[in-house]
Amino acid sequence: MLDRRSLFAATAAVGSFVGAAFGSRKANAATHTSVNLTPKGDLEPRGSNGRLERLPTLDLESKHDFVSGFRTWHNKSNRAVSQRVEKILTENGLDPKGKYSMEKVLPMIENDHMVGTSGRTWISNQQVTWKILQDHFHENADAYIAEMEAADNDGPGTLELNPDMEIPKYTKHEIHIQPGGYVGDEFAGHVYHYGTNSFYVGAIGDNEQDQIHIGTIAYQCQKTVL
Amino acid sequence: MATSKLKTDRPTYASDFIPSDVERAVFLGNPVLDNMMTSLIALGAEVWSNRRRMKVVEALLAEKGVTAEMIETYMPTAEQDAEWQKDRDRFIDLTYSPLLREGDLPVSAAFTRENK
Repeated sequence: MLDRRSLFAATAAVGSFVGAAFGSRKANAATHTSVNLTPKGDLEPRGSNGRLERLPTLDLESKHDFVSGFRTWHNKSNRAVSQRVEKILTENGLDPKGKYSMEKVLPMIENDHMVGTSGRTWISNQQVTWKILQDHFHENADAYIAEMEAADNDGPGTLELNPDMEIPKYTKHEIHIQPGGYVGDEFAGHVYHYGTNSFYVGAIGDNEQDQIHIGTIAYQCQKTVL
Repeated sequence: MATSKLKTDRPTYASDFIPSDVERAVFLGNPVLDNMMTSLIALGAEVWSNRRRMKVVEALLAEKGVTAEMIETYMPTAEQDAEWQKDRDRFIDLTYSPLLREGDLPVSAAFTRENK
């Protein structure tokens, strides 16, 4: 069951709008700024940290902090697992630096407990990462949708999506095992936006201020100019 | 992991999607072990959330004059000590008693017990 690979896509994320469900909390009314791009009147229960709206509860933020930390630890510990796989390949008479099909290699490694633990913990951590976010947005769906509608109605322009648009099949999969994928959940954008921050910090580096995206664009611009 | 219910009566515009089969994946040869690993990670998130909240509380207390040193050197009263130990023992019993279970009966085994 290890023949699954998740591609790491550095796609643009969708901003989130935190709203009226937290009316009883101490909330900051944000003005429209060029920093966090929140629409006028947007409510942020716990304010913003630069460009990023803080997660709306301390509990959610802390759990997200944990799964991010776990992912970083997992990526580091994967070096030991890589060495283990290389050892198994060698024991099976294969050059560990060679290129082989998954079909050839999987039977050799899929019953190894370290490889299994690595795969299992990686998947489980990612499932928990998605779930804590999705649970929160589902639980407070009414308020978040109202907030988005308010932003929609705030203008100055309008955005109308074609309800008859055919959604390509390749977009319907649960990419990164995100529940519902990018098209099947009302809060796919919210969940992706926060969830992938743990991807970045575990694999490339901190991206809570969109540093990686900004850096990528700057690099491309530099290449174009040169 | 089970998907939570969307709590709204407002119209929504999500599309149909193709679910992955990750929920059926077994990495460790026994789905129970796989499930326990997920539980362990979720438990870690809960524990860390509590600890992080405690750090916030301690930081706020420090602003009000209750310092980290005061917390470190606090001496519980005898009554508090007894009460806390009782809670500690309950915690340990709940957490580690399952390790003592012998568990030697296969699920497929026939029921053979008689009245005592």
